[in-house]
Amino acid sequence: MPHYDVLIIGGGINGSGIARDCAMRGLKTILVEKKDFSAGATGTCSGMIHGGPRYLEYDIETTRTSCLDSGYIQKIAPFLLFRIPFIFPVLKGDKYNLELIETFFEAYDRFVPLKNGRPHTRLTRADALRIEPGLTPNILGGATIDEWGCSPFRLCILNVLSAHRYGAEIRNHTEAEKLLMDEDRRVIGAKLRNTLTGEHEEVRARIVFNAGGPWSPQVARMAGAQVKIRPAKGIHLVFDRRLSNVAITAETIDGRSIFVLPYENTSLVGTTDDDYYGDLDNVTATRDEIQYLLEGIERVFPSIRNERIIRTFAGVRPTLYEWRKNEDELSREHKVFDHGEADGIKGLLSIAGGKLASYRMMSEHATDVICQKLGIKEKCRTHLEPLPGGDGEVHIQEAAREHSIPAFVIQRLYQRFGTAYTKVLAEEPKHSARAFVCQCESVTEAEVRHVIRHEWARTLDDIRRRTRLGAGPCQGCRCTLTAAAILAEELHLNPDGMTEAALEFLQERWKGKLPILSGLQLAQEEINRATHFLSANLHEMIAAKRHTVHGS
Amino acid sequence: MEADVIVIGGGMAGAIAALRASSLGANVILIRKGHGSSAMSSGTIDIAGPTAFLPLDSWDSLPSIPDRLGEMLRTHALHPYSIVAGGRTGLGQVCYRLRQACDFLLDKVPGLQLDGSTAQNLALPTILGTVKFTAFAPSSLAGGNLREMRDAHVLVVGVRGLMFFQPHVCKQSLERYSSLHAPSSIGRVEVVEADMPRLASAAPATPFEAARSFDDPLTVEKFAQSLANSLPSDATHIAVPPILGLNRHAETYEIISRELRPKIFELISPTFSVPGHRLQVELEAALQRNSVRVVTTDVVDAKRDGRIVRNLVLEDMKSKRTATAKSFIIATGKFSTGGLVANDFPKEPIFKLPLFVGGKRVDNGFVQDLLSWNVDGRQLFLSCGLHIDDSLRPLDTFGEPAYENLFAAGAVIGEYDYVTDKCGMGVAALTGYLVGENAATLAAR
Repeated sequence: MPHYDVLIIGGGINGSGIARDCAMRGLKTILVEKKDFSAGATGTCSGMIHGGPRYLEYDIETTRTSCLDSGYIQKIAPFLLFRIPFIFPVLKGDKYNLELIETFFEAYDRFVPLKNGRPHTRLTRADALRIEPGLTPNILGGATIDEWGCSPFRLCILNVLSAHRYGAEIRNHTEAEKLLMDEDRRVIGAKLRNTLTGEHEEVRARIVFNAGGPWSPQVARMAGAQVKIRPAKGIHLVFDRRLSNVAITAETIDGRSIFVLPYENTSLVGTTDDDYYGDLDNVTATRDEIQYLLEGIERVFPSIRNERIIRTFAGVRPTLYEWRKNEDELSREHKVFDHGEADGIKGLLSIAGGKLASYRMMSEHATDVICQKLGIKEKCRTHLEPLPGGDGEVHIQEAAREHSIPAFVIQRLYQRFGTAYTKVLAEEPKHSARAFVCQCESVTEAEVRHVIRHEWARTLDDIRRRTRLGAGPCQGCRCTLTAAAILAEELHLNPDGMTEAALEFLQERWKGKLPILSGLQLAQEEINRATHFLSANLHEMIAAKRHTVHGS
Repeated sequence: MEADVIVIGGGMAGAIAALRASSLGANVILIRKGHGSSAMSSGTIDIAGPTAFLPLDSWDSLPSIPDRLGEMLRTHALHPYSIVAGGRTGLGQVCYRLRQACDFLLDKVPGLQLDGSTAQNLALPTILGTVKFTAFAPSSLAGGNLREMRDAHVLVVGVRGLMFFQPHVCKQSLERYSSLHAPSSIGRVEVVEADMPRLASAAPATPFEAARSFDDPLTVEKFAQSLANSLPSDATHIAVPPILGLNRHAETYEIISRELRPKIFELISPTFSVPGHRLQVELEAALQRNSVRVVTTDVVDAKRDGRIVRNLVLEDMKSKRTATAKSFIIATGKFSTGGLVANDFPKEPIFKLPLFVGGKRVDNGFVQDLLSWNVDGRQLFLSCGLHIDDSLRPLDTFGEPAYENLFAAGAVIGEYDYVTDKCGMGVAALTGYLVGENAATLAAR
């Protein structure tokens, strides 16, 4: 049985960040994730490394740490981050007038230099409408602030890659089925099951770290320990194209702050914040939540209802437990649980709370606790050393000429892989860097093969997280079968395995579309269905597979 | 604008309706927004495909087309086939009418070079190596009919620099068909790689780009020769993705068949496939030959007078005008072509006709309520559409024909799912043929 210093359960941004930190400090580390890296709460966040001006009112420490850490993340992965200018429109009858908003942002401006942001500016009505003509003419004026966006999927996988380079063992699609305990009520390891192959293995570890996010209470319960969180569901709507020049904030009917945000080839609208008691493995948006968001955005950005919604995504935040407060007022602070002290279960630690922007600091804190337990003095270096690909800059136009590949493709590869984009271009077979698999998002065959070969992608959904395959308006109509064929080739899947991969992906996409399917996206869905179940006749493969499974 | 018959919609249903009405002496205008969904299809004519495929002991265990039709008549009383049949006992009637419609299609659109019959399905391999069952297919696709093969030695050609085709996956899936009882269709499958002559050094091509380059006879010959050099001597069939010519396919296919000894055929490929484009082009050529006037514009409204449709309101970027006729045919398709629109509630936008699924009215409820959780399950929104009487006139909410001079054809009609029933083009051709007849007869009165 292999022995490790630390076993980390949960491959979200915290688990990945902790794995990186532990591995860098020389601990023998293993990271296990039951689904895929960033497949849970991390992947369903808004994708912002933002300072959180919202928290200034009641949680100033969160604002400070978010800004500080966001500055560090920028240093270790400059390629990953992109600036998101926000407009804060002020309407008649709003909670705050322009003067108050400005005063508020003046306070925020003190933290902004920490994350290399620009101070706020005040906009007249005419200025605001010039910058963003989609705004309602009813605005009185506005203010701008400056935030950073990043792909949570890439941020997570880069941490995993870095951990791997420092010697950590990496397992996705691997569930910790059981925690192993000794007679002393000490957690000494775990029994793992690969959910794709069904294979079991047992590993020993001096510390088991539970970074299960919303699932962390379940993980802790396996050892008889308790992590108390207040799970809060948040949904986002994804629209086709970038609808606005800048991000715009809006107020909901109950006075909460929401936004519409141009993101890659799409726009995001989010988010809700509601206590969640349902199935964590099956979180979907409801019609009410969707209307609630649209109603809020419509007030400042009236055309939103005529735009094409591609899909929704929903996730659950592992917010720290507190009674009586509204969801929105809950602190975004994090906490490391030492179950030895709290529940008498030694060898087990958990983390909960926090936000994407301060993941690195949380990981540092968690790793400090781990090191203290293990008596290791090594200092954290995760804010000093760049993430894989963060070790230089690239001249996009020159690179495009050199490889005779459109600059747009280079740009998006650079934003995903940093300087390692050249490794993607070099993938075999020749020309695959110029063959598109997903036309909506310009994902090339080389990129698909690269993430299967080097980033543990085992399903089409894994590929989607790493590359945005199928995330555009056609939602997998033209890429699913091609990508499934490539996956089958790379992983030596038989036709049944390939069908299953394609079908799983279609089902996963379908789940996110069900609540909003209408208008043009419904028309698209008719084509998708005919493509997969009529022209390509996947039904035949499904029937054949059911036969081999049940018949023999 | 004035005519005896106005057809709205330019896909298979609309084209056949226009051709049929015109063949009966009517003066016909066809109004369309753009390409119909026929242009997005894989280019085959499905009439009634089997719903379960494998395991197969032999091809004989598959139901014939009349078998499947009989089954549909028994289980789906509101299916357009059942309406045409006039009930469960009308199998003979629907078979007879289908034969008539298909003979008409073959006669009027000879450029499609359709092979097949209304009796038995062809079994045609797709680029994934799955099999699509269909009644008629252009001869370049029909050449891959597995039912005709005996221990065939098939070469799957991987074309270097062509996107969206993985020959090894196709081979692996096709090999499953060697397990049929002897004599089985497939003996051996092999992959050979070939270069596109024009594209050898250039960037990878999409199937449409590749097909366009194959419109040049020299390219075809070069490709055939390079392929001939790498052929195993005992190969009986060559499978290529559907790229053998875009606008001059017949010529291309003739050249390449002449140059290569084994039978060469094209694999079926999903949506936005080259054969779908060829189908659309041939339908349009047939409309032109038969003096059907094709107008490309949007129909935004219809002026009605009691139970009579008087004229249509047409609108495009430049102008707004009206079009008058004695009878009208709505062949606008479903959601993908704008025949139905969904703004949370589904709606038929021109005549505001009521929509039904499973006998229930659905245009007054959320379209999301018609969706099934399983992506591969039966989706009710795809069965959503008009109810029709036995002359194929759309019904109002009381079950009466909404207008005396309005007929419906193709996917705008409800109560069938062309994906699970594998009957899209069959219904389109049949209903198009019949409404063409009905509309012309009415106009002549």
